[in-house]
Amino acid sequence: MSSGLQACFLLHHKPYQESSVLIDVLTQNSGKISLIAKGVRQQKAKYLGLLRPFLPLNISYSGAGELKLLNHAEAGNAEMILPGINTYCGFYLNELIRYFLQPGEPYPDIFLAYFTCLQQLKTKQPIEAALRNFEVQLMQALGYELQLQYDCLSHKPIKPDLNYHFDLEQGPRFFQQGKISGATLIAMHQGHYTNQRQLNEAKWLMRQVIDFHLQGKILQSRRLISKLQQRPVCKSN
Amino acid sequence: MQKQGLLTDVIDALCCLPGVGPKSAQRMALHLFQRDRGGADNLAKALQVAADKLGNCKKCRTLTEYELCSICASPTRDQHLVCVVESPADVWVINQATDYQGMFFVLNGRLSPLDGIGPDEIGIDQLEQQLAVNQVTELILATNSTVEGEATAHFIAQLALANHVQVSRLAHGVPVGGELEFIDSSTLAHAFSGRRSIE
Ligand SMILES: [Zn+2]
Repeated sequence: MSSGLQACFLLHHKPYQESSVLIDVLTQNSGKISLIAKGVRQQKAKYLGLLRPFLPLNISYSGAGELKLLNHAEAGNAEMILPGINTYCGFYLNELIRYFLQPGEPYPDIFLAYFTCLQQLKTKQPIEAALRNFEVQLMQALGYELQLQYDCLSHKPIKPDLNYHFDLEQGPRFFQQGKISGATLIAMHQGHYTNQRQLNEAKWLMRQVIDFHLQGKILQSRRLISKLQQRPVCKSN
Repeated sequence: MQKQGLLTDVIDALCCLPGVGPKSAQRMALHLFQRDRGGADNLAKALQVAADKLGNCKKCRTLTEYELCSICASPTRDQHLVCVVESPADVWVINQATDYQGMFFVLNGRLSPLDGIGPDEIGIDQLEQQLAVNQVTELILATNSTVEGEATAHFIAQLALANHVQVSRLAHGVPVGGELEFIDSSTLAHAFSGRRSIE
């Protein structure tokens, strides 16, 4: 089976045999796919420099098994060079996607969320909100009930001036000493943060949520980012 | 051919080489034992000695059987310049192609979180110690022009700046003899943003 051109981003690449590369990509319509790209590591190879993370690609591939054959690749029209520490945040997105997505299952919402997040990582603007939005959208698109709108006990809408405890399986419930404010839950739901407290709480909460679903797996990119942040010269994300 | 025994052991062992599958491994093994027993003997001895003695240079981490490699041990090279590369092969290439007379530091890898490679795996602590002792005045970042290589360069640049060491990065650009029309857009974008005035 052969496909037409499809938009995608490369998530991971590793050398295979003398001149080939095994790549994982996130496609717009077919989700996460593993491909073999033959002969791309030769000096004059057509795709040299093209098969790299964060660059929008259009590819076609063939094959019925789990490992497809890359037939053609060309660069999309946007250049994606992530400045400084944002590259590591990009690796973080890739690591999340590689871990959480089942191969071959379509996740167009995640593709869109990923693309949107990369667009923001490209700029030198603060990126915390972009990362949180991606995490929330990822969890929701995967079908993990990340319920941010209602108190899971009373079923009343979240109130901005109350505090909540967030049960990782049930959702938020009113608790005066809770670590998460209603305003943060609302900000997470709307994808729009208005102050640093919301961003800090959202970061803390999403970390719990993601760790819960990672079931013990360690995210290397997160380790790396925190190492970077230990250095006095690096800004926090 | 029999599927076990010494010859099969050799064929299996050869398959550890990049680009060598069972077919090529078989061809190599048969060549060595049918046509070139002397070659087989030399290869075995050289491999055995190297496997026993080859280690990493204490200072720059390149492969050597000595405490210090020949570059680090050389009294004539400029100790104030350090060029950071991903692999020992890059040391050879730069030494051959340029008149660079400084020192090297070999990462033996690049930061690649998805492969579990972080700062510890590429000797960042060791590099930072060298930066801290004040002898180094300029660090030349010659990691590959891949996303991972750039990320590694960025990380090391931050360390160097924190230690008040001047940092430079290899220029990326239009290959010598290259025609613009055939250059990929990102190379061209790099070349454009890194353009120089003509003196
Ligand atoms: Zn050395």
